[in-house]
Formats: sequence, structure tokens, C-alpha cells
Amino acid sequence: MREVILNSYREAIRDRVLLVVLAFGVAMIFSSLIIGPLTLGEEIRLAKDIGLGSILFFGLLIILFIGNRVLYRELNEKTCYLILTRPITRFQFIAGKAIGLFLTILVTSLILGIIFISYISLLTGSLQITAFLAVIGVIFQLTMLVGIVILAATFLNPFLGSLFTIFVYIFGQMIPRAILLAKFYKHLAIARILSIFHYIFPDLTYLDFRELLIYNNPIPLERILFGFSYAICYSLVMVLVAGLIFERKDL
Amino acid sequence: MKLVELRNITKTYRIIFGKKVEALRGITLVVGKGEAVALVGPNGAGKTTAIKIILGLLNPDCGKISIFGQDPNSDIRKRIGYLPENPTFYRFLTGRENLLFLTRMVDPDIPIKRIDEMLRLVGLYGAKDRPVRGYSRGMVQRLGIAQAIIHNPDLLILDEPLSGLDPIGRKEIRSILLNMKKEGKTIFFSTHILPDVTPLADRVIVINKGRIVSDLPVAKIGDIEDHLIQILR
Ligand SMILES: Nc1ncnc2c1ncn2[C@@H]1O[C@H](COP(=O)(O)OP(=O)(O)OP(=O)(O)O)[C@@H](O)[C@H]1O
Ligand SMILES: [Mg+2]
Repeated sequence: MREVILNSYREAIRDRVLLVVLAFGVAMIFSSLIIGPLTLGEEIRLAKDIGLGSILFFGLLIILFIGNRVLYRELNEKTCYLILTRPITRFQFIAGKAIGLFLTILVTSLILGIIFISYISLLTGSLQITAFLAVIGVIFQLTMLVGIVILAATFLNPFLGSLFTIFVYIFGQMIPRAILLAKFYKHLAIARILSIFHYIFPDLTYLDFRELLIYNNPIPLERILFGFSYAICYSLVMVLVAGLIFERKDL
Repeated sequence: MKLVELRNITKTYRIIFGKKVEALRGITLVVGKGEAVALVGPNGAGKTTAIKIILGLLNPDCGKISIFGQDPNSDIRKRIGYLPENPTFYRFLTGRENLLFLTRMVDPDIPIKRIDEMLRLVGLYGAKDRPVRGYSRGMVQRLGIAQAIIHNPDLLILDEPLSGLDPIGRKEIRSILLNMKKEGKTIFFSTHILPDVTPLADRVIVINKGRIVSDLPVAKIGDIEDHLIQILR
């Protein structure tokens, strides 16, 4: 399994798309240097907002452009025949692909994250622990999306897989708000149905510390612990389901 | 001892709009230890399908499979060497990197020396550091043979091992396989190249339209081409 992990990591990290995405990510983080002065004293908030948003956005791009293909190529070009007839279970294969992709995301987000944290620390003149935690939160959000994209890749082609991932992502963002709205207008039945969906779709808001960071509030420890364990469990379940689907698949 | 055993295997491919292709219609075959068995038959007869089922790449609709008396999806795969029809490798890696990667999955401590030895044996040593995307069809086939035999498996399952090779390559690979047979390895292979059947195989199984139509020792067949024409007519 180690070999599969390394290989999918290597394949992803060598992809040229990655460099382009990284370059744009770095540019975005520093873009507040240009727009900042227009915001009358809000430079730091703006830099935090844009910077954190960029790490998430560009991570998502990597998942959609590269992540989608790591499994598809293997199945489409039949390179998996030589791998899956060796002593490795299909489940290990899927897990290996997921971990390889996760490592790619981890490395790229950490690169962007360190640039972001250093930049913010320079702007504020102090080391920003909250920024660090917020970056970790973003990495966990991306981890959940890695799980979803791997799941999608077991039964969809890259194009549909990307659509699926984007759909799940947007739906996941909308549900918590929709539940609040439904409760507010006393549509309790709808709220109940929505809360079932809330279990299925990823709720990235648990890991979204952007507002706390922007308004200089510390992130409560419970939120961190809950968010991180939620993300880990959710990603594991996604990979587990992907493995179960893949287990029975004709290759 | 039975190394490969298929009992009443059926397989139907489902294509879109409810269309179906019955690729295997109840196949029963056994390969014993130390045997070399050839699977021959026209295009679309079901050879590749049967081989993929033996390896667990496809799930049969019904029937039973066992390899070394066990489920194909078990650790027993260490002892199997498989060459797919038209093997494919990671195009961005070199031949040597591909072989190393695949072999490490079976034997994590494989010495590099063994990899190079194998590349020399299949005649790829000179091209070992070139990415596979630049390999010719025959070179890919040679790499395919190398990955199938490098871990010294007891059972070889080869889907058209000699296709895509030039005459000399065919002779070389055939003699590698003959050597393995002499060492007591079991070989199950499909082929279209009839002159290659008799030097290697002890037994010939003929498959047509998803059914086994003949299963005879080579000694009882005589001229294999006549045999095939007679059966398939
Ligand atoms: N993935 C697939 N989807 C649908 N039909 C398939 C698929 N693979 C094979 N078939 C069909 O199943 C039948 C058996 O195919 P198979 O590849 O097993 O034949 P074969 O004996 O290996 O032929 P060849 O000598 O050309 O390699 C054929 O009719 C083929 O069209
Ligand atoms: Mg075939």
C-alpha cells in the first residue's frame, strides 16, 4: 500500500497544473497588498479573508483537476490490472489513492498556509496562532472533499465526478442555513428532513474559522476538537463507502 | 493438485439500453500443478473474460473459482504472475521504475540487481531509463512479461504472451517460458499464434462463443490448425 500512496502522490505532485494553481494561490494571498490600501484601515482583515479563502479555493481546484484523475486514469488506462492482481486489496488501493491525494493537498496547503501565516504575522507584527488554526481548519475541509472526490471517482468519470463534488460542496454549505430558515419560519417538518441531509452532506462550517480570524476572536477549543474529529470521521466514512463500491466493481 | 479451478462460470456484460453480451456461458476448467495449458479460440470467444475472472478483476454472474484451492482475492496472489492482454504501465515512469514499483508490491526488499537482471533477460536493459510512453508495442509486451515472472511465481496466467513481438522476440520469450515450465511452474495462457501452442502446451482448451468445445492433451491433437478448423466449423 505504501507504494500506491507514494505513486499517486508523486503523480499528482508532478502535475503541471499544480504549479499553476500554486502560483495563482500565492498571487492571491498577496493581492491584498494592492487592494488593501483602498479599504481604509481594513488591510489586515482583507488580507486574512482573501488569504484563507484562497487556500480553500485553490485546494478545491487541485482536488477537482488532479484528484479526480488519479483514480480514473488507473481504471481507464488499465494500469490497475497489474496492481490489483498483486497482494493488495481493492480497499487498500482506494485508501492508498485517497492518502496520496491527501498528502498532495496537505503539502500544497501547507506551502500556501505558511506563506499566508507569515504574511499576516508580518502585517500584524505578532505571530498569529489563530491564523494557523484557521489554516488547519481549511486543510480539514479539503480532506473531506478528498473523501468525496474519491467516492465520486469510483462510479463517475472526471467530468461528472467534478460536478458531483461541486454539487455536494454547495449543498453542504446550504443545508445549515436552510435548516435555520426552516426553523425560523416554523416549517418543522422541512427542518427535520433537512437535518437528515445534514448528516449525509459535509458541513464545512464546523471547520470554517474565517470570521473568528477576521474579527480577532480566539477559536474555542470545543469547536476545534469537534470540527477536527467531524472531518476525520466524515472523510473516513467517504473512503470506506468508496472502498465498498470499488470492491464489487468489474474492471 | 488443482491450481486453477473454474466451475460453471457465466458472465454477461451489460451494455447500455439493457443490451447484453453473454461472454461466458458456463465454463468449467481445471489446471493442475506443473501443467502448461493453452486456451485458444476465435476473437470474442471469451478468453480474456475467463482470465480476468480467474484473477478476480471481473466478478462472474454465477459459478465458483478457486486458485491454489483458495479465493482469488487472497494473499495467494504473491504466487501468481499475470500478463494482461495489451498490458499498460505508468507512462510517465521509466521501464525500470515501473518494474521496481510493481515488484515491490510483491516483495518490498527486492534488490535492484534483480530488476536489472530481469530487464536484461527480456531485452529491455538498453531502454530501461526511458519513460514507457516512448516504448514500442513489443517493448511494452516485454516489460509485461518481465513484471509477470520477476517474483518467480508458481502459476503464470498470460493473456496472449507472444503478441506484438517480432520473430526473434517471440523465440526469446518462448524459451523463457519453456525454462519456467521445466522448473515446474504452471502456465495457463491464451493465444492466437498456433505454432506457439505445441512447443509450450501440454493441453489445449478450445473456447468458442463462451463455451468450452474441446479440452485435449496435445499428444491427441495432431495438427492443431486442422483440429481447430474441424471443431469450429
Ligand atoms: N467490457 C466489455 N463490455 C462489453 N462487452 C465486452 C467487454 N469485454 C468483452 N466483451 C465482449 O465479450 C465477448 C468476449 O470477449 P473477450 O475479450 O473475452 O474475447 P477474447 O476471446 O479474449 O477475444 P480476442 O481473441 O479478440 O482477445 C466479446 O463478444 C466481447 O465483445
Ligand atoms: Mg482477448
